[in-house]
Amino acid sequence: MLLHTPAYLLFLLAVIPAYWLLPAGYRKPFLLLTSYGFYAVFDLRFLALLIGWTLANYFLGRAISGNLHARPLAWFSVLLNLGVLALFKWEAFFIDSLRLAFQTLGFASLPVGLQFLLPIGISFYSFQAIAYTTEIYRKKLQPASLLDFAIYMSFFPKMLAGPLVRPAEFLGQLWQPSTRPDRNAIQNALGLLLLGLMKKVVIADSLASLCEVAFRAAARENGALLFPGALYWQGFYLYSFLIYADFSGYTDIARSSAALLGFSLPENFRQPYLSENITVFWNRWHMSMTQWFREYLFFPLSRGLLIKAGRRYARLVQIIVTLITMTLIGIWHGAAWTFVAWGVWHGLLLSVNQQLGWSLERRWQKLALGVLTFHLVGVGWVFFGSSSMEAAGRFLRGMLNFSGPQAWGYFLPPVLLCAFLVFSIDLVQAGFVRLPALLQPAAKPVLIVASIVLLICLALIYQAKGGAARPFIYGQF
Amino acid sequence: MHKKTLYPGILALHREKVVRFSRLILGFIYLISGLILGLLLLEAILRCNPTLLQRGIALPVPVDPPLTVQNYDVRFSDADVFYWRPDLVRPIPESADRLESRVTYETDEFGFRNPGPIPPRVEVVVLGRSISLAGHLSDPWPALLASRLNWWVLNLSQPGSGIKVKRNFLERFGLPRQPRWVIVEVVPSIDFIGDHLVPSTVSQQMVVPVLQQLARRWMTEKPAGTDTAIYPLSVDLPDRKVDLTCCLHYLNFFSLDRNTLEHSLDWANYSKELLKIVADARSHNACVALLYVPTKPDVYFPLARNPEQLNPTLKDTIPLRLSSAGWIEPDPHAAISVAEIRQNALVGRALVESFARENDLLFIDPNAALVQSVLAGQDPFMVYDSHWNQLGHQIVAETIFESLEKAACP
Repeated sequence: MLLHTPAYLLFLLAVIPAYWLLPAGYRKPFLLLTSYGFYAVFDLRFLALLIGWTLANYFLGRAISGNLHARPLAWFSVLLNLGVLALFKWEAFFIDSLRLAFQTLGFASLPVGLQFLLPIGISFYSFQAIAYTTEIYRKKLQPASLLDFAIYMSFFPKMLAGPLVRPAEFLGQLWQPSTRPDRNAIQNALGLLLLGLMKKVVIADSLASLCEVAFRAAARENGALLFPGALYWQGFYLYSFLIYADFSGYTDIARSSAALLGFSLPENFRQPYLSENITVFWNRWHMSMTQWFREYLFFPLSRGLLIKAGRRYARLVQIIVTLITMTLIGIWHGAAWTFVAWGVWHGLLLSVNQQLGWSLERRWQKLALGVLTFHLVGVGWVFFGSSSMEAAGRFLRGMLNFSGPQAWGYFLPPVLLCAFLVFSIDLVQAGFVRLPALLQPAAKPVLIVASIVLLICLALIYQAKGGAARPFIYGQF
Repeated sequence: MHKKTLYPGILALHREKVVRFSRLILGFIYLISGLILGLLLLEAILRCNPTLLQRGIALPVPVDPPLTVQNYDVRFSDADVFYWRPDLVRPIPESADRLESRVTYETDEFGFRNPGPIPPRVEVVVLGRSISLAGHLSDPWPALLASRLNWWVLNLSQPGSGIKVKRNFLERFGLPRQPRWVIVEVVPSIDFIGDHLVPSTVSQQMVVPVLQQLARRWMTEKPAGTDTAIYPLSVDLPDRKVDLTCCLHYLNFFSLDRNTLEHSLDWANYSKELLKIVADARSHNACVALLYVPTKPDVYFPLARNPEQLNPTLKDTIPLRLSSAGWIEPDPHAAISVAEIRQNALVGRALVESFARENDLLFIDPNAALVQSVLAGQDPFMVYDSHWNQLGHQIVAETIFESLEKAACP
């Protein structure tokens, strides 16, 4: 059940009133059952894995708390979570290695049952589990009850792709008596839901998904460079918009669903494409994940290396740790050289930016650097979205093919429309653009009606066309 | 005292009513503005991304996702006749619902049916409808012609593309590639009439097909097989019997005689646009050929030994007439006979031929070759569908090849 489908909206419509109609004491068990039910819809086996994972981390959290051997237990918890995650996530790599090992040992094929499915949301709940046990080890958090911890792990709005919530932040809300959202909060939540649906259904699925043509072209070993450059430029821009609208749309829907249940989930995106440099970009892009890596990898690793190497090497340490962190963020997405390249690329950009330390004052300078940053990020997305390093290379080379100027007339309009929608939303949200006072009262109702009309029309068109709804990109990680 | 308190009360009541009324008006204005904005955005999105639409619906854009290879099967029950008038066809038992073709369908970078990438120069550009697109088989005549001539044949055909859309495709995708030949498919029964009635926006054109598709999806019972069914219709040919399923709107057109057709605004409109295509092509040093498309009735009706056997087809036929405004329009009260249909069967063809002659265009007519194949015991059309089958496309490709070989084009 994907968050942008009518099925999910109906599910939400049933769950929210039921949740608030229940006596307070029954709400948590109801929430857990609902979340488990939601997850079981994808695959019942995934639910079994989630329950096992929850129990293991719950008992590890208990064991770590106040234990003399807390340190090895905390390390065990980290390794266990990462190990199981790696087993599922980089299964292809492991399976290939196992196949080789079995062949070396003289077996013809692998034993049956070693081919795994990737459980949905595994990257997110494994990281939440690590955060939980680590916080207990650091004595910043008391172990939660099994019910609370299970809800923390499985809360359905954030189940598929986050946002990654700090354990104290989420458990703190569970420990407080639940308060029904007032009229204002409901209005805000519904507005966020509508915005999320617009981003996912209108911008990502209906427009920006056209970028796939460029990736399909680049994947061709023969003839990829004969396509007009305009096709690759279209793919370059549209993929940047796709990944942003898709992921931030998901986050908006997740946050609004949580808000309707009285929970607050952290912001994940704050107009990242309006960033004036790459450091600012990473403070605004997938903020919950960046914060996780900063807290549980970047800072401890920097501290450790600084103690060993000394303050003299602070710059070198920063570069090394930035590169390691960004590479690991890349690998977190999957076992492919394209993700590694994406991580390294961002590591390099961040390092260069940190070392140069430009502070630009003038508006046009900031704008120019912002445009440059957007394009540098776009180059990273080419690696991220490509099926192989060779395909990414062909994509980038294809962009330099300026023959067939008439093709621009065909490939440019979707980019312009998509850019208009994305930047309009961001500029208004960031407060850069304000409507004239006269139009302000009309803007909200008109935009709401327009969005609903558009969503209904597109839903009918998708229904008539048939086929499955497009999944969220980060749902695959 | 009483008056003093009453007046402000009445005023307040009025003010409240006025406020309430103005709020209502404002709400209505917001609603309409939102509706318009939403529909404008929808139109812009559909124009930018036509792949949201579905093939088979008459839309003026390439609707297949670019650079894809689709593989699918076509059965009897996939025929277009089921899409438009399922009530006229007897149900096909599941066991008899034969596989007619296994299709591999490849699209170029724009979504047209060509292998991508399209080179900067091509020899032939084809402008057609579903007939030259041939989504129901793997090798349509443009592909066969390409391999026969060893030329690049750019197929810009799309289902339902009228003459203006064809011109648009030619200007945007065809002429920049400096073709030597531009081949325009002409199906008089569909091309000549009603082009002025096609809505100008994609959103408007979507309404009926989308609702139709949704109704078909959500309908639990299929309407096929009711007692109104007339097809397949058994018809005696000179040496054999054939089961015909065809006609639909093609037959309506055969109610028109040459005089009516020639003096209609529809023909004037069509021929004017066709001349623009010719002028465009010539300004880019390309030669133009008109490919006349014989339909099932064109080929089979004149061959029927006993015309009375064709009478049931009239049930489905709505004769056309010239309106006072000069446009051709349906006249449900008029009567039509099979004899008239047979008499008018080649009116459209004759008009196209004389237009081609007058304008020094190459006229390609595969009718004789298709009739020959039927007389030889073959069937160049799909069984339930009205389009040419693989044999039909081979015959047409061969006819075009011979015509191009003989034609003088610098």
